[in-house]
Amino acid sequence: MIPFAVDVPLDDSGGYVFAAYSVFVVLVLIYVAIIGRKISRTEREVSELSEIAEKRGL
Amino acid sequence: MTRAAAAILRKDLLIEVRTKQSVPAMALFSVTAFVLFHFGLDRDRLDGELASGVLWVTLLLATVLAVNRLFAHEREQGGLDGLLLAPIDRTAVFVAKAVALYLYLVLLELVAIPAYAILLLGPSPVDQLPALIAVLALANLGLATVGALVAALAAEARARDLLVPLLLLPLLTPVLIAAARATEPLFAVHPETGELGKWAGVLGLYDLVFVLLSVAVFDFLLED
Amino acid sequence: MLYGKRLAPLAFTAAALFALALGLIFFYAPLDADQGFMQKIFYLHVPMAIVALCGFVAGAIMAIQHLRTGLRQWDVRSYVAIHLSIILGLGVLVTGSIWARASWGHWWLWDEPMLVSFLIIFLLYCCYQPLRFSIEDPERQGRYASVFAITAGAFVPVNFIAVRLAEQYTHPRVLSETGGNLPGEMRLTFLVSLVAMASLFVTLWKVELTSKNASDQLRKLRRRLEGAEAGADDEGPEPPIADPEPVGAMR
Repeated sequence: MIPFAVDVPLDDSGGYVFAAYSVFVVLVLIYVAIIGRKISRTEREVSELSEIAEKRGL
Repeated sequence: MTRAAAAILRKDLLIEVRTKQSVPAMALFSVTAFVLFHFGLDRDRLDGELASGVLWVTLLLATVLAVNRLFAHEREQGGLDGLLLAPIDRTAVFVAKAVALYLYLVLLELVAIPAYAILLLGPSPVDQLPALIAVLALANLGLATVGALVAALAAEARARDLLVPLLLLPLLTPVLIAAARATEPLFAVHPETGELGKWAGVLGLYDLVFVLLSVAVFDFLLED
Repeated sequence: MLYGKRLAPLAFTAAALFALALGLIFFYAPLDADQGFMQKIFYLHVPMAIVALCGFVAGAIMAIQHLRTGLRQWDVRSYVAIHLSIILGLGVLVTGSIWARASWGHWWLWDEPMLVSFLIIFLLYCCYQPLRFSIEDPERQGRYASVFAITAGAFVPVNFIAVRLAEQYTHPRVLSETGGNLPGEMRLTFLVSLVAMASLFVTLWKVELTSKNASDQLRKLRRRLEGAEAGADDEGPEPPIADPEPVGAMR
């Protein structure tokens, strides 16, 4: 059916491999989310500071 | 530097002799631990790996007690500033504390090992005493060095009583592994030296790495 | 200094390497004779472990630089490297556990030196952030953290040796890992996976440094703007890297 050189055993072992790789992907994505939150906080501060600067007439 | 270290060491030992804080606590803890192990493991006599493991885990935990108290006087009586203002090498403080801790461990073992032999140990350790003493000497060096380092590291932190065991125990795991494996055949039903050389080598490596490291790095602690 | 400059090409390279690695893992590397499909986890677990260990050692080296030069930027770099390696270390433990379960039916194996060493190292480095958080003075925090990083970095190899020796004669090596006896295709796949993982690490490291740097500069800018209002002229002290009271927590 699938013309590739591997046959994916969809029994237990396939499940475990999938679990392991998913753990990895999820960890990376969680990390991205944490950095993303930090960046959005930075963004907010930038806009606050531009407001202050504007008020100052800079 | 040696004179400064000796002076600090003498002060620490004097305090210990007068207040009797660390060593009696360590000894009491060890004997209590042996009792706990008797009940926890439900055994009257231990030998081989079990005997080895129980002894070394107990010694390690007793070290944690001592490390917690190592800078206690300086913190409580404010002596730390005095030490820092003095025109001495910080390393002298490290050497003094490490040697003090080493001595406490030796005193502890003078009590704990016989207690262990009486309470829990099956085979008599007397035949293999030189080997046992060699292992203890090497292991104590590792315990004392890393103990003094961690004591200084945690000295300025809040919640230092929690931090000390959490930092110290993983760092001391190689000492536990090597020392326990080394004494395993000594405590066997038919005592023999076993692979003493190999494990003594590991202990020696650990000691070397951490003595060098601590001496290099200690100046950066306790600085202000 | 700007960390974000060559970030995009770096990230794209890492992505390409990963795509290549995944392709090789699933379509090129042959199936292992004993373990079958489960062995594929090896291409994930071992590179993670190696990169995490290198990350810890790199963190230690950066910490040495920090103590030698006193420059805060080395401290930040060290912090991020260690912090990333801790996350990778968690991944190593979880994937290793899954592999153990898949191959041997147990969720944990004491005779796997890599796994056991990692557990000890992970437990140790878990104290890194609490240690930082519990010291308020920023300069001291950096110094003590660097001492810890160096100590722990020196500990890593000693620990490995001790654990390896401890299991050597009691149990044979159960799971074959990086062996010199990997057939050619597997070895190539493994190397590509390793490089992909390493480039991922460097990319994430730069990303976090960029983000941290930006928010630090912002804080300084804010202080200058607010200070200019009050007529003061100084920039104020550098904030600590692990902030016991993070700016913006109130909002």
